[in-house]
Amino acid sequence: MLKNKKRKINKRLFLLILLALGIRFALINLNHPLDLQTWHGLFVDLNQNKSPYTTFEELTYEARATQGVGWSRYYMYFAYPPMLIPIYYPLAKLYGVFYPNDQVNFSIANVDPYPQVPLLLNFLFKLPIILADVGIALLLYKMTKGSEKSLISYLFNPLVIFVSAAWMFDSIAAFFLVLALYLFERKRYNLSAVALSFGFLTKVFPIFALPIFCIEFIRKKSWKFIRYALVFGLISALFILPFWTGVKLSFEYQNVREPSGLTPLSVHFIAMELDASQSTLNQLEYVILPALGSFFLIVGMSLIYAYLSKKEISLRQKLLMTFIAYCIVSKNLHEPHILMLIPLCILELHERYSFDKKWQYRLFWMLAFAYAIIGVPLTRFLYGYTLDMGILYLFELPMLAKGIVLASVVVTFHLVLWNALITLIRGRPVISLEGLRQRLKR
Amino acid sequence: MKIGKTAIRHLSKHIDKIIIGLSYVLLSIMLLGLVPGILYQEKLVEVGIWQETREIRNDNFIVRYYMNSGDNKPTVLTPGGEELLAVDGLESTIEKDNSSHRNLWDHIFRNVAASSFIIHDIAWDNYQMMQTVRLWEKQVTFEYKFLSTENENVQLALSLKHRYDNYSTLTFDNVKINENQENKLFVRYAVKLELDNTFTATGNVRYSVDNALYWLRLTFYAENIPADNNWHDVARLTMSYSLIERKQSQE
Repeated sequence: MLKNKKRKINKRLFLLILLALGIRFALINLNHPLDLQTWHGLFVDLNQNKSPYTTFEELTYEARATQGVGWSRYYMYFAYPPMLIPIYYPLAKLYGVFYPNDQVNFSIANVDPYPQVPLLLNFLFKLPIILADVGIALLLYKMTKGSEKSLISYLFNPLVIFVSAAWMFDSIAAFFLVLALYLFERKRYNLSAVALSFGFLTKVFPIFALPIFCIEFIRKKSWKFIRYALVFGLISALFILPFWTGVKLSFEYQNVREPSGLTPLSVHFIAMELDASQSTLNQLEYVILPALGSFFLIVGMSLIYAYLSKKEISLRQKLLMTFIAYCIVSKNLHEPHILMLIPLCILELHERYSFDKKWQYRLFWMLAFAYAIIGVPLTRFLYGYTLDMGILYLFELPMLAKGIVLASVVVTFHLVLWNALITLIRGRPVISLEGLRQRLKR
Repeated sequence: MKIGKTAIRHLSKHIDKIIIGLSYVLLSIMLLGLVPGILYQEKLVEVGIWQETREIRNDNFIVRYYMNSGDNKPTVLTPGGEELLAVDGLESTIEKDNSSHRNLWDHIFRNVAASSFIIHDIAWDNYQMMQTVRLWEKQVTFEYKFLSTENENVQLALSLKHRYDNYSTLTFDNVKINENQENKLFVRYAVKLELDNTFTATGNVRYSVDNALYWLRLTFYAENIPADNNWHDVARLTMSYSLIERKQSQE
């Protein structure tokens, strides 16, 4: 009887995962043009046994030379930690079997590329990302004691589907982060440190969880945090050192990169609208705002770590608060980055559900999605099917309207972030939707 | 053992203060990096940027320049001193019929900025540059003479993109080329050079670029360069330069 029930659940899970995979694979021909150029370049580089960092360096020099087109000190190419290289190397080689002479014609810096790539490239690039989504969902299922709701909430979240099927590889980094948490909770500390390191080596953000894991040991008066940090550091060094020059250039780029996305620091767009001189814009975009970004990041993260080091709450909650704080202070917060919050929100809702939290967390991804729909805009993802600019820019609003809408989304998003953080700190929100609902009921 | 236990107890007790203390250290490091940036606002601004692309085909010789405009127009001269073209504007494309005289490879490119000036909000300081391109029997050489008269910290980044056939090679003197890029149909070379300070002039003396020390020579070598042979493929050379200058004072 019990066996039968288990088999039924497994079958249901299998069908759910199959459905989630089906939806994602149906969308793989949608792409962000600029990012697809990077993935295309990555595959071509790896197939030719060339480091994508070398191409990044070369393109950067060229970008500097074509300054007249745009003030680019770096070319937006492969500016990530090196984990994607071992992940995609075999897939790029497989791609090379079918397309041995494929080349990338990179666009000039700051000019939108519209690369046309074979469907096979989209499939191979998105395969690990989509599998990472399934991995996260299964981990959530296990971590919530078999809650199907948790699995569904993640697998069928519209932002998660869109980011993984059509945009970025954030789910790979998020998978390693959730895996690190899962292993840590099972006291498999070395493996947890390895998983966290893999997360950091995929995309930088999981490194912000490292102090939380270390503090967890320190709070228990254990020296194991040294071993944890050492394992993390050694694994990271093992992957980074062979690509040191390229990784350094990537970090330099990310450091001085002009603020963009869902951050109030991207005020230079307002200066641009006000016809500020190029010199003022350069100073603002490449000196002042990145410096302010670093300042906020150091201050914000230190405050949250100091606060959490004395707080008696679950590790899961601490991680959620850490990444909410990171979203508040990060100078480059693009729509796909919000994916990192979603698994942690699902865990929190499972353990301490409240109506307010549910809507705060819904608003995280809804606002990020809204920003993408208007900002990119969404129709540009269709360019794998059409190059008709009328269609690609169908959702493009007039400049002023677009600026106002995006600024409103950013402000609302940050209000929601603060409200969610305060809810976790004080146990009740500043702006309560539950209270509003009660009042409306009355 | 006891010391270890006491230490971790203290660490656990004061971890919040330690984190705040560390944040002060990080902020101080950041400020130390920032102060020079504020004092010398132009520090991060790159100056002196141009790009050229040459294409030689059976019937055409094409050179494209992306660079500065203004009063100081760079010129391209024949070895005899005759002006082939003056680069005007940010982007210039010169296309010449090359069917009868492929010796258009053979020219001198000269760009001299004798005083500081600002173009497109980029400060250009004193520098002089001369590039001599010579067509030899089986090779083309690019010889660069570069003179920076006042800058002490000049870094020149050069990116060279070169499409060539199997018979041609490109060799560099004095330049480190990235490895593992042999015999590819489409190759990019990226080199980053630190200009030796001994090349800079002292005091107010302005040296002529003609007398500048030899700096860099690029040699394009191909078996089929002689003019009576047909070009089987397009030979294209793109060179990009980025001159990064750390300004010592504001404009």
